[in-house]
Amino acid sequence: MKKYTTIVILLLISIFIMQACEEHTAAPDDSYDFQAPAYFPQLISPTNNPLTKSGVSLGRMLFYDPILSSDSTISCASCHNISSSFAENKKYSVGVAGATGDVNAMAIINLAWQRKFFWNGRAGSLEEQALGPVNNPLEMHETSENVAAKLTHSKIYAPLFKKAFGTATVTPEMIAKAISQFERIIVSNQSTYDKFYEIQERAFTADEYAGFRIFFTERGQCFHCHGANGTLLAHNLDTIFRNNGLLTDQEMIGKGLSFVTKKTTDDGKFKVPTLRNIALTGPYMHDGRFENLMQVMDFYSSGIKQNRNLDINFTKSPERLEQYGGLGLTTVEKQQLIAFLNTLTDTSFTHNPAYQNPFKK
Amino acid sequence: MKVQLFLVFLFFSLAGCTWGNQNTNGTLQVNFQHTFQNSTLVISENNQLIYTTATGNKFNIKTLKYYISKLTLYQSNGVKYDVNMVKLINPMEANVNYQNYTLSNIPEGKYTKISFQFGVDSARNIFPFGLPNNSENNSMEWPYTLGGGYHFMMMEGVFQNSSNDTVGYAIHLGKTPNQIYNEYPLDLNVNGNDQSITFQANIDQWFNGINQINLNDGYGYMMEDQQKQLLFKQNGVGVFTLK
Repeated sequence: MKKYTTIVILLLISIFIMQACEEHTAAPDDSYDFQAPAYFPQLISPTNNPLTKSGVSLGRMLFYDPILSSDSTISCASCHNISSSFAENKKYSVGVAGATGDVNAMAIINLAWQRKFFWNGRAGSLEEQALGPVNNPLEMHETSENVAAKLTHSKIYAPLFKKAFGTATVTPEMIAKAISQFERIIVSNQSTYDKFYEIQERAFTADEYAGFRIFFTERGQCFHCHGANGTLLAHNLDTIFRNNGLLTDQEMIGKGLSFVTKKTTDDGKFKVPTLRNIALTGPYMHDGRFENLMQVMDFYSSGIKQNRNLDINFTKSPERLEQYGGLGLTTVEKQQLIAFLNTLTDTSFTHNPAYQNPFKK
Repeated sequence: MKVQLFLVFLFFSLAGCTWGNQNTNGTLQVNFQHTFQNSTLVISENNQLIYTTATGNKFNIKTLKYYISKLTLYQSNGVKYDVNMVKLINPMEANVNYQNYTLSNIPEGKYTKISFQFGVDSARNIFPFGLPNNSENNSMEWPYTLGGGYHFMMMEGVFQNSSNDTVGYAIHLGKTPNQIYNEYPLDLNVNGNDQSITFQANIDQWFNGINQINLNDGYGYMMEDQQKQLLFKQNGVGVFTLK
């Protein structure tokens, strides 16, 4: 009898241990399954803001809700329109009471792999970036503390924050975290260019391939700033601020990265933007000065302004710079480059239901 | 009584395990120090031309990054210790004197030679992603259109050209044939100890080896110019010295 009792006790213990193990290893129900192709760069996620279903869903609502602005007229989506790959087809966006900024709205694509945000890199994380427009008088003209109070008193939002962050007393930090979670899952990986990783040159038409070769050789040497193979996909370069000769010595003082670093050697250096969906995100450059990609080609071909911080990728060919004012591209080469850039367009991205306005019926 | 005897037996067995496995493996920290004409290398942010090459080019260095791979230790009896490593050396980071790679778990023995390769080893110098697909390695990619793999070295800056203009240069080396094999005699006794050695990278030697480099000869576009890369490969043999 004693023997049987021992066996039963041991069995019960082992069942208990097995159950405990099972509970321990199972993923929490709320964790968000974030998928990116294997050929994308390694992702370094912040440990203090893991993706959760409730966090992403809340962030999406906040992104599309004008409650973030002082007069409830402007949401993030007002200036980051999904049909433009979350950029805006305007030189400068219009904020509360008709105020206009002085930089072009940046596209939101594959931000999970990026480390610096805004054209001048003043935010070192998505969380830091997220509240910038809320507090900017030219944009939402609100304070993040006031938004937190509005959301705490909201019958809709308070329980959603409780679910996502464990408390219904909303803080600016929680708002930033939720918006960042939504922005982090916005991924483009279905363009023609993505097929290059499977079938190489066969992904392209003859013109696209010709443009691809200009882009990735020293003829165009676009890759020196926009990244070679992996970087163009998700763009996680560390050194991503370059002076591409848009401004003169005088015009660039205090503009770009130097706004943050206060170094004159950083004057006129702007964040190199992703080229994903570039055909959808015009107008182009930090100040939206070019309406279309042909104007961009013309600029790199013959419009470079020689300033003291001009990137060496231009100055290393002084003869070309002197003769053409840039790369000296032919009309055909420009068209081929544009054909290649069009292969980075991903319409499944702009139609992805997970990124759409949740308030739209 | 039986139990006490068992415990005593167990104690000695376990203690015996520890004593029997006394670790005689060692570590070797391999430092890379960067100098220009024997002074600590300065990486420039501005366009001030702080250096002069042997051919008289006034210039500076704004970017310097390069890979080393296959650090290997050899004993005189033919035994070698090869961890199949690769490391991006980036003197642009905070302190040019403290770029290092640590070889650990080196088996006990007397090592008489060390070798490494400048550049990414052949097995990893491939498209796509022979190296981990991260930000550090992505920034060194050598485009598929030019053969794929990685830049072995990026050295960039500005110089005063023959028209007295300050213009850019970009010494980019890549492609497997441009790896440089380096080997040095060594006197290293490994017996459970931690040691270090230092290689001095004499950056001026890139311009002043078998080949005298004049930056006016067009070193802006050399990724598609094997002849120009070869000049640097040949000079590279004298760049690293073991201190």
